[in-house]
Amino acid sequence: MIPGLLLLLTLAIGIAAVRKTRDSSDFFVAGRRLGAFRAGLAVAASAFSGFVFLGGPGLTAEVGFGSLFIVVPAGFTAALLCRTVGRRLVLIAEASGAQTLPESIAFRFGGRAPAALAAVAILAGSVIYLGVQLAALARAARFAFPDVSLMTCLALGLAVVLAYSLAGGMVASVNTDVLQGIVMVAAAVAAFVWVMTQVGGPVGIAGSAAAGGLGAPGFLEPLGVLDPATGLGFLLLFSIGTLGQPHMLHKFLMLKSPEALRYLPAVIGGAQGLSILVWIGLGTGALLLLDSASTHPDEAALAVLGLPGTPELLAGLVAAAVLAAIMSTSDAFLNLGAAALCRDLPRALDRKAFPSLAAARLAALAVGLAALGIAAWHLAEGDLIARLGTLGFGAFAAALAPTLLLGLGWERITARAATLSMAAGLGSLIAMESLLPGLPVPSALLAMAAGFLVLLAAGLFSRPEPVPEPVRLAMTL
Amino acid sequence: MLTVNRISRVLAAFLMVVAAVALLVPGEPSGALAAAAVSAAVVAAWSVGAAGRPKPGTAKRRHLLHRALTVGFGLSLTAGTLLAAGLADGPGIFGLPRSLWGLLLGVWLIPLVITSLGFAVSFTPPTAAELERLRAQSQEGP
Repeated sequence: MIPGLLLLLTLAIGIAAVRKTRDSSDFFVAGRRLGAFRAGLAVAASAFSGFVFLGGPGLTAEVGFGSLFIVVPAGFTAALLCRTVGRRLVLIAEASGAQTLPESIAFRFGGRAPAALAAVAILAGSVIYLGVQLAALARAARFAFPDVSLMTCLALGLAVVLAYSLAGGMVASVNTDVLQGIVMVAAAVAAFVWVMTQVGGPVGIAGSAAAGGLGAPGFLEPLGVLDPATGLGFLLLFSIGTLGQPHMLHKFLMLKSPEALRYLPAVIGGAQGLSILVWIGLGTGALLLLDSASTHPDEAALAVLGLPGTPELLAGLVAAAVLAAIMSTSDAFLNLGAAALCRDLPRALDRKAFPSLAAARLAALAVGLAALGIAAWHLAEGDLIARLGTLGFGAFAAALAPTLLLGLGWERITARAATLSMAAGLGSLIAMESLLPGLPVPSALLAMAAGFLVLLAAGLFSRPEPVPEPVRLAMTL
Repeated sequence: MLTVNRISRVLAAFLMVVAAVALLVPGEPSGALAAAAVSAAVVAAWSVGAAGRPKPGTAKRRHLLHRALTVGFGLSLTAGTLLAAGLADGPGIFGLPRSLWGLLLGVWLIPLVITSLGFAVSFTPPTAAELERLRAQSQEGP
């Protein structure tokens, strides 16, 4: 019942947002009216997807608490994001009125190539990441609507996301993100408290480990099961890579003023910190309460809540939170992909952009359908959501993090350096995923390192280009 | 932005060394611990050194706050990384491994509080006049 209620509320917010969506500024940057609270919850909700709510507990069930290396960087990434890339994006939006990330990159570097490559990376990454969300949706559907067929649930969930995203654009996306963020935080805290009472709290967990009830020794220790290079690689990738995530960065273009940045790290960090409890709580429950051999890891989180004695209210709340996590990220990628397709790419290629609302909605529909193909392929492969999620995150990190972190604030980084860096990051990630599978260090980390090296080399060894005064001001204020 | 700038430098040092650990150390926990110990020493020295330099025009009480936040951030990351890498293995609070507490408290929770607080108290947005100048320059064109 609670998941159904969430879907109805989400649709109502979407319909209400239609009246507020009058032009492309409303569609792409929610009219640039966000304060710290709404923006912070929207960033947290769009950052934490089915990857965190299903993939995280599933990964914990498989590799133990070494999986936490992925989420602990949230302790400092919110402030890092606001201090570095976020602040400069807000100023670029003030100066240029940029509505998308490629437009911000075009303002900073000039020329067509950097913006075009950024648009390509965002479009490709959005389709992949949206595909991850749809695959997670299919997994969640088994639990939320047990009497309805899998395909019907998938179609229903996708239809709701498409309906409110296409109708209300970013106004709907941000408003539903706030609702979804609140549901996610409440469910994460409730699930954590419930699992802890079931396993006897930390003392009970330690006792189970001592009695050999965790499957493999070392499951409670961060580097007990996980290869050190993999664990520390995750820590680094998810620390720096956050600076290249367009679904989070796009929200900075919607802030009503730079002053709104002040409390943004606290709101983002607080919401993410509470949401991470679901990773720890349900991951622990999956380790201690489930027969892991009979459950697909990605369904472990929900299987914990299907155990006898689980309060129905809690199970419904968590199922709703899983839907919320998936939908909040999905709508962000629909809008980002649409913007790249109908606005950024045509402009970067010196073609006529399609600024109308109808074109934006058609582009979002095309992105959604392409992601369906990715979701179907992933489900057929039967791989972990966390693995594909890491790849999606890594694609953005490798392509965009070096240019955004260094390029937005350092005059030596030229348009050519930015273009080469994005190409190197994305290209090396594709090459490593194709030719070198099974590396101990996440391939996206190596690809991101390649992007940084190329950016630095090209920036330092090429002739400095004069930076126009408005750009210099946006970089230094 | 004084505190945030210092914290950023400490964080940069920490991440650079973690990068070296992740890329260079083979899959041996003892190797990871040794590398983490070296990185921790670098980070601790950097954070204490960065916090110790008084900046011109900074009030004494404010300087003390900056110093406390920066040192706290650096030491928290240092201790957390060392414990997570396996220094002082064994049961800790509530019988859970110290390495787990190191990761959860030292790398996640304490830095979350410090960076959020540090950003809020030291953030200086551009003034209205500066923003007006920025918009005016942009309208004139590059």
